[in-house]
Order: sequence, then structure tokens, then C-alpha cells
Amino acid sequence: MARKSNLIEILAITAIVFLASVVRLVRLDTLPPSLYWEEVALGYDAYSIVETGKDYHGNPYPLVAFPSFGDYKPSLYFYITAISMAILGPTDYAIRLPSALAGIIAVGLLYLISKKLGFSKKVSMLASFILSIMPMAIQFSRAAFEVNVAVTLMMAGIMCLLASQKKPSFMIAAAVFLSLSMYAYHGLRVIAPLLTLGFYVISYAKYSIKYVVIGFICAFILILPILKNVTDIQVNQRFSETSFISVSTAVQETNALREYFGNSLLSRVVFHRYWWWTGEAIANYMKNFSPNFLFMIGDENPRHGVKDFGPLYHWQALALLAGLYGMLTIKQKGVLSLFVWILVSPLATMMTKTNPHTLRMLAIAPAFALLSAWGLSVVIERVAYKKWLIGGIALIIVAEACMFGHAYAIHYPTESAPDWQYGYRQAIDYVEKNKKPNQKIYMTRDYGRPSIYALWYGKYEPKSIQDSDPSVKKDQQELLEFGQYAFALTGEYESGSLVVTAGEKGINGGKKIETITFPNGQVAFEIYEAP
Amino acid sequence: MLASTIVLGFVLRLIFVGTNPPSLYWDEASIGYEAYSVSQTGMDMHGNHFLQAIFPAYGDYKAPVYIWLASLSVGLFGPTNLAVRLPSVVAGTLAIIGMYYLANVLFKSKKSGLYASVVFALLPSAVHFSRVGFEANVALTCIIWSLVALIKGFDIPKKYYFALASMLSLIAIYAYFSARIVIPLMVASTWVFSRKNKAVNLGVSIFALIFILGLIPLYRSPYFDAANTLRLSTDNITNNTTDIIKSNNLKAVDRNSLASRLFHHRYVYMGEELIGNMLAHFEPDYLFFTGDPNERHSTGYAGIMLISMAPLFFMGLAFCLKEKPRTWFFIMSLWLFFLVPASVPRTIPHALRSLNSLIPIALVVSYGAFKMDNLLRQGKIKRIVVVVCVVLIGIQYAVYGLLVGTFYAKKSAAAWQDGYPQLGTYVATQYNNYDYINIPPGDRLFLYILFYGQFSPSLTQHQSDVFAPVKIGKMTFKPVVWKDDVQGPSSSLIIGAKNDFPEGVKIKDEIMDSEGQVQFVSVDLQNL
Repeated sequence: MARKSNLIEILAITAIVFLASVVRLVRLDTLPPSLYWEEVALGYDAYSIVETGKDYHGNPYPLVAFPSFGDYKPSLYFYITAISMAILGPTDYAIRLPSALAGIIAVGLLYLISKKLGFSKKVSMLASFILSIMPMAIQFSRAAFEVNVAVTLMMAGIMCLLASQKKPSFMIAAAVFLSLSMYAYHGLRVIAPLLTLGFYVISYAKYSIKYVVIGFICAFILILPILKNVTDIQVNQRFSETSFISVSTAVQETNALREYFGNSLLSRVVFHRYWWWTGEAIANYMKNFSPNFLFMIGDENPRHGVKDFGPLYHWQALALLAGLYGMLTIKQKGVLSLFVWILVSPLATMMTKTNPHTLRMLAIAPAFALLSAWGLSVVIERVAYKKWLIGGIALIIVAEACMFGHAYAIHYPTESAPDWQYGYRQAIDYVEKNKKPNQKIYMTRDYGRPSIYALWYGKYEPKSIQDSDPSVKKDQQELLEFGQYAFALTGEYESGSLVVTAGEKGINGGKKIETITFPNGQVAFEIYEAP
Repeated sequence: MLASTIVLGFVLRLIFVGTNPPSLYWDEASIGYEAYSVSQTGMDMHGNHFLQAIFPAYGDYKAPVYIWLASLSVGLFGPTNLAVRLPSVVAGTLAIIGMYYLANVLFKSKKSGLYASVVFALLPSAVHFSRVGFEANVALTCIIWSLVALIKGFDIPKKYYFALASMLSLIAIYAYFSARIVIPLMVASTWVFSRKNKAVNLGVSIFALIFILGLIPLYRSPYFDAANTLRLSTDNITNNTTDIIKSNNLKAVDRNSLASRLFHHRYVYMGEELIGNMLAHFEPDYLFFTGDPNERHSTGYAGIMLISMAPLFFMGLAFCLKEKPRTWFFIMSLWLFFLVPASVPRTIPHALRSLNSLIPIALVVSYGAFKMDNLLRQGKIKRIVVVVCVVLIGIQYAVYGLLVGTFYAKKSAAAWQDGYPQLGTYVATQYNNYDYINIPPGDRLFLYILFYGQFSPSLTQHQSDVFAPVKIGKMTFKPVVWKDDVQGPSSSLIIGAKNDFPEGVKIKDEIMDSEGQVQFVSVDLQNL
């Protein structure tokens, strides 16, 4: 009997993982419709690593961060992509695959974590299922988002941490995974340690002190390169670029107030900018729990979600409410850890200027899936007419999943094409096919960072780019010229050169030879031959 | 304890109310002049008898109750800011007492009643809305008392409670017309969440009967249709085409299949928008930090409450759900229903139209405070936590008061039409010296001239259907056109902004706002 139920369990979880795979892998390279510049940047640097062992600026095996456009992206996703590229070759699919796989693994991991936390098999399975179809989980698994890999690594770390309660040696694996997650995404450098601390404090008695110390030492050694560079541009560039302090008006406000009250000691204490900043940070934090954001509209960035859907399904508002009700009224193992998980996840984004921010708090996704699942089970267990209720809930879940799938597959590619830099690939393909030797090519920067698309879709040899790197014009680290390309429209072009313009701006006296449109028919690029 | 809370609440609402907010907003000015007119002549400024269901006012069709109340205070104290705002101040104070009884009947404990009254007495938005002549504030008070009577009525089925509740509801509606949307919802919700017993049906029938009879004058008012047309014309989710366009675009992509016509139907998007607008009133910025972006509806230094009150709020939410789930759902249903009038129009969040939601919010916060009180008796650490919370609230409240007292009036002066009252007083001093006075139309400037100048209502009462008058007595309201105006009769006073006049023209007087900025200048044609 036990064996039979085990078999059913394995079959069910396999089916869920299969579902997750279908949802994440089908048409991966063309849905979202094109690769965003960060994805292409990841791809070309990975290609460069595979080919030469150096990034395209010529740095050999960067450990903490790749300079890329000068934004210093964390290193891990580059190396994972390098592996997938070594196997699949330099394709768009290979760039997105690591994130998709991470999303699939996360679905399986959530099942294990949930059981380890003390939830029933049914709840754990439901949680996995919900994660496999949750809007934010799908959204970030279907494009090369480093954060998705980071969150899966964090989950693996948490799984091992929980497993170490029984087998202490798992602590070492936990340390490895959690440290790796910090190499995959900046935000995890805040979230992973805090979450680990939270989980440890909740059931500290269950861990072997010896292995806690060993794990801590392992993790310390593994993140030493990050710690060593903490004052360096490789690590803090991100913080200084995104921190809300730079846009805060607290200093002006508090100074004005102090002046009004005669700069007395009391006024300097009461009107200290730290109070203001604390207030702003709390406000930022809370915005990530705004119901309108979570269930209705999502954040402003069209790459982070589909119109009319938040990061979560609408029905999850009620499921999470039921979960909270359960949390208050029912004694259930693991609920406290789950609560801590939810509270810790937005701590990284609250220090930045854009809140709410689905991407930066992606770590919350598995916790929301699990709490929704448990919330549903709380309702189902307490209500009569169980069969009808279960049927009704299943119908709602499936119906909304279908609506999301429809919106994502049919309407989203058209509506969001410009936000995914649609058109670059088509433009570069045309130019590469039709260019003549020694012909100059001028390309607009209106849509941002054109050079990386030319490098990637032109499949330029990383070696030659590395060699020319020190001498070419750059903006931060973004190339503004290489080979035949110049990425600026100055108005003065060599006769007979190709000019790629944005929209329908055109150039004086040029002959239009090609038009590239967005899926909705609007003009993305026009290619001219200069007079 | 209750008495001192009431006194504290009254003082917070009354202190400096004439000068902070710095001046009357045009709705207040209009109320003020209607009240002045009623107290002087028994008729409104258009010459209608004061016992009417709708005051046409400046064409916005005002509810009568506030004007009646204000006519008493204006009659007593004369046409001043304080007199116009006094009914709101008093209503806000009565609401504190109402909250005491409401929490009392809801949570069945005197102590929680006390906390509710303390919270409501201090709540920044409750204080703010009681310091302005907002009709909605009077309606809020009536709704609180009506809820008390209603819950009592359902609890111990006595018919007169229902009659009382019904009459209070009617006053609320005649104080602020949008209350007619929330009251039926409120009654339904109270009914659903109350204990069932037989006598209730009769009670509800009595309520409904009085309620419907009471609404007859409103529906028979000659201005009823015009008032409705005006209210429905604001940009709202039903009269805007964006949802329809969006729906059509999506359907076109799906080739108008049956499923697409169902799931991309415009009602789906209107529904989503309605819910989204309601949820906008749960944004942390709105609740805890800056409040309604309209400077008249929030001081900008706090949301509905202060962030330091958030622990009380969340504790209240959690413990009420845990201990009294039925009451929790009742409070939440009230909250959502009270948001409906604010969620159909597109200006969201809107603290004024959703003012009634202060009731559920204050109840939740007060329940949190009530639980904190219990924690005090549970050991040292918990006691320290509670004390820290209270101290933080105290400090932030003091700072908040300081900011409102010193900076709010200055910051928001423009939103309150600062400078108009000064002009009104000025025109009154000059009125007898000239045969013709030209005044720019401004934003309903004539209301301020009439009110602050204490001009006799007889000047306007014969113009029964003119809502934006061009001529009142010797005054003409039109923009300054210097080359024409200079040709006018010599005994003329031309008032305008400084740059309306060419260089070198001799300025007679400068009219300044309370910050000393010159808002208007006057020119005497005899004395160029």
C-alpha cells in the first residue's frame, strides 16, 4: 500500500515537472518575441568565454562580475550559459535555457522543501503545481534572467539546510548553493544570508553546532571574493546605481526643517535624515505587498509581466488570505519559516529607487505558491460540500491559467515587442547579408546598446573584438564602434554607406532599401543607403 | 477618560481652524455664502426658500444639511472661516463619541470603545477632515451613529433603533449625496453579519419605509436631474472609452471568436478597473505616508494614519481575524463598500469620497491598541515593546503636529485659493467709492467677494438661474482687457493680476495673500 502511494506521488510530481517543462521550454527563443539587451550581453560574453576564455573586453575568466556595458553583471549566469552554449552552440535558445531549466528545477525543489518544512504531500504537490503555472515564475523562466537561477540556487541551499537537520553533512552543500546564489544575482547577497539566519533561528536546536560552524566557514571562503571586492566597482556599482538615496529629497527637507527650528540640538536629532531614509525604506518595502501590484497590474516594466496580470493570479489574493487566516488560527509546522521567507524577500529591493519590483523580489515566488496551496487546503478542510468546492477551485485555477497563457502567447508578443528590443535581430541579419566589404555601417542608438546585437547576430569573432577593445570609442563599457560599424547617427555619412535609422525619421537624400516593422506593423527600423 | 478624549479631540479640531488650512476652498466659500444668505433672508443666494433638498449654489447642486448647520453658526459668529468650518469641527467631535459606542457594540467591551474613541480623536485624517467645511464629514458622523443604532437594532430587536438608524442615514444623505450608494450596502452587510432573529424583518421594513419616504423630497427636487447629470459627467470608469477600445483591439487580434468576446468583454476590464481603483486605497503610501495627493485632502505629512501606527493596524487586523472572524469580515465588507463611491470616478485614491472608510480603519487600529493593552500585562519584554511603540507614536505625532502647524498652510496656500478672501474684504471697502468695479473671474472668485465682502444676498437672489454671474451689483466679473477697460467710465476700479496692466500705470493698491505675495492689484481710472 505504501509503495503504491509512493508510486502515485512520483508519477504526480513527474507530471507536474513535465507540465512546468512544457510551459517553460516551448518556443523559448521566440516567446518573449526577441532578446533584451541584457540577454544578448550575457550571450555574447558567454560565447566569448567558450571561444577564448576571456570576456569580450579581454578579461580572462572574471570571477565576481563581468564588466559588460559597465554595469558589472554577476558572473555565474555567464558561465552556466557558456556550458549550454558549448552543448547547443551559439543560439538564442542556449542563452535562455539556463533560466528555463532553473525554473523547472525550482518546481521540483519546492515540493521537497515543502515536505521538509512539514507540509503534507498533497499541499506540497499543490504548491509545486501552483509554482509551475504562476505568472511571475513563468515570466522570469522564459527569458535569461539571472535572478531566476539565483533563486533556484537559494532554494537548493534551503533544501540542503533543512535536510541537514537529519543529516548534518548536508550543511556543506547548503553553504555551497547559498554562496553560489550570491554569484548569480546582487539581491541574493542580502536575501540569502538573512533567510538562512531566519531559518536557523526558527529551529536552531535541530542543527548540529559543529556543522553550522563548518558550513559557515565554507560559505565564508566561497564568498570571500565578493567580500574582498565589496568596496570595488565590481560589487558596489550596482548599489550606487540603483539606491533610492540618490533620488531622495530627505537631505534638503531635513536641512530646511533644522534651519527653521534654529539648528538646535533637538531639531538636529528629530529632523535627522536617517529618520527620513528609514521612512522611505519602509514605504518602499511595503509597496511590494500592495494588493494592486500583486494581483492586478504588476510593476511598470513590461518585461516583468503581462498586462492585466500581476505577478500572482487574481485568485491567489483569496488563497493567500486563507493562508494568513490559517497562520493565525492553526498550528502547522513550517508556517513560521514560510512567513519569514515572505518577509525577507523584498528586503533587497527596498533599498532601490524602483518599488514595487517583481524581478528583485522573485525569491518570494515559491513562498507565495506554498502559502497559496496551504491556504486552499485550509479552506477545503473547513468547508462542507468538499467535492463541489474542489471542483470550483480547480475550475477557477485552470480557467485563469488558460487566460494567462492566452494573453502571454497571443497578445503579449505584439504588445511588448518594443520593450524586448524587437527588430535588432532582423536589422542586423539584413545588414550582415547585404553589406559590402569596406562599406561603412551607421546604426542608431535610439533603442539603446546596438553594438551588442551586431556582435551577437553578426557572430563576430570575440578574439578580434578583444584585440580592438582598448582603442575603440566607448560609452562606459558599451562599444560605440567596431569593424565596419559605427553606432551614432551624426548626419554626415560616407557616400554609399548603410544607415540604420529608428522609426520613420529617415535621412537626407538617402535611398530607403529596407523597412523592419514591429509585430503590430509600426516601423522599428529603416535602412538607407547614404547619398 | 472618555470626556478627556472628547475634549482633546475637540481642541485638535478647533485650534487655529480659521487660519490653518489658510483659507476657504470655493466649496466652503459657496457654503458660507449660502449660509449667510439663509441666515440673513431665509432664502439661498438664488432666492429659493431655504427648505429645499438641493441647493443649486454655483451650479454644483449642494446638499442642504451642511448649509443649514452653517447658517446657524454664520448667524451667530458672522461670515468667518471659523463659522463655516464649525459644523465640521462639531461633527468630528460627535464622531469621537460615536466611535466609542460603535466599538463598544461591535467588540462588546467598554475598553475597546475607549480605544476606538482615542484613535479616532487622534487619527491624522479624521482631524484634518474635521478642520475643513467638508460636507462628507457631517455625513461620516451620521453614518457612525446610524451604524451604532443599526447594530443595536439587530442585536436587541427594538423598532425604534431601526427608526433612529434610518433617520440618521437620511441626514447623512442630505449632508452628502453619495451616501445613498453606501447606506443600502451598509445595511445589507450589517444584516448578513448579524445574529438572525425574527423581529429583525420588521425592523428592516421600518428602516426601508422611513428611508424611502425620506428620499422623496430629493427625487422630486427640480434640480435632481441636473445634479445627477453633473455627477455622472466626471471622468469615471463607465463613461470613458479606454476600456471599450482596449476590448475591441484585443478581440480583433483574436478574430472576434466567441471566447474572446466573452473574456475580452469591456465589462471584464471595467470590473478590473473598479477593483483596482478600490485597491488603490490600500496602497502603503496612501495609508501610512503621504495620503491623497490632493493637498486639500491630506497634509502630505501622513497618510490616513502615521507609519508608527502601522504596528497597531496590523496587530488589529491579525488579532481581529483570529479572535472575531465574523466581526473582521463585517469590518472589511464595510471598508470595501465605503470605497465604492471613490472607486467609480477616475481620480484615485480619493480620501474625501472614501471618507467613511475611516470607520473601519479606526476600528482596526483601535483593536490593535486594545490588544497591545493586553500585552502590557504579559511580562517585561512585551511591556518594553509596547512602551517603545507608544513612545514612537507620540514622537511622530508631535513632529506631525509641528509640521502641520508650521508648514502645511504655507505649502498648500495655492490649493486653498489664498488671496481671494483678502480681495473680498478689499472690494467691500472700495464698493461705495466707485460706479463700476472690474474683477477677473478667477476660480469662482465671485463667491469669495460675496462672502468676505458680506454683500447682501439681494444682489444675486433675482438671478435665480445664473450660476456663474458676470454682473453682481456694480461688479463685473471678466478678465482685464486694458485697452478697452481704460475707455470705461471714469469712476471705475479695475482689478487684475499685475501683468494685466501695462508698465507705468499707477497702481492704487496691492492685495496680498497671507504669505505676503501680491496676488491682485487695483487701478483707479480717475487717478492714472
